[in-house]
Amino acid sequence: MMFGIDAGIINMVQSILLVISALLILIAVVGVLRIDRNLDNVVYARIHILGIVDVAGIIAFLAIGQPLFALIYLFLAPLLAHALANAYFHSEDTLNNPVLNPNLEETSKREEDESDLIEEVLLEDNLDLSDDSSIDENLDEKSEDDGND
Amino acid sequence: MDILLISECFLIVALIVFLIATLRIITYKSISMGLIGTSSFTLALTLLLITVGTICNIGFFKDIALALLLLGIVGTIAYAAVMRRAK
Repeated sequence: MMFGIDAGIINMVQSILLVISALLILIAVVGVLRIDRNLDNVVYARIHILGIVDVAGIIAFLAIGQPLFALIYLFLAPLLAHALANAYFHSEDTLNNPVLNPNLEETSKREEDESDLIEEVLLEDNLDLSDDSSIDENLDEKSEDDGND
Repeated sequence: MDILLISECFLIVALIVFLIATLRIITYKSISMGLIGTSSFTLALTLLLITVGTICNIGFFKDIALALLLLGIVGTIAYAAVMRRAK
């Protein structure tokens, strides 16, 4: 008897928690190994998937009867994940970091310039960007005019 | 057989599978993936040591697991901080 609860019930709850954590670990293993390595930002995805194992570990620590380990890992796991993602971004991430990939900044500037140019052209024609129907109507009118000419 | 023992054995099997998966992650070519795999390996090994120590009633497994957990995570964070500043 512990806290007025039967030992058999406590054993049952512990067993259920351990099985749940084991299943979570197996699901995370399948996810980490099966994710396509050619995806963009796959490292962040892997860190995200391994977060499931962190939670499973905390559940297992609690089920085994080690709350100190669970508390330590509860505080350190987010720090660890953030440190790893931060290190990857600043040292190896050429897809998102403009310091490592200067072309990225030029591309984004070019896209901004193009979108500004499109907005200016549309404003000159007095078109409302929020209303797609007005744009379609104006395009129809223009095409009819072209046909008449 | 006790149901708690069965579930602990199930957890051990899952952890061994996870350890093999982390070894596969460590072999990816980027340094970040090596770090991620190593930290996950540390967690799995800690959990495995505690589970085996609980089943076999070996007391010092818990001390080893505590040292492994703390030093492994702190070491990984320190290496990540160095890696962030390196380039």
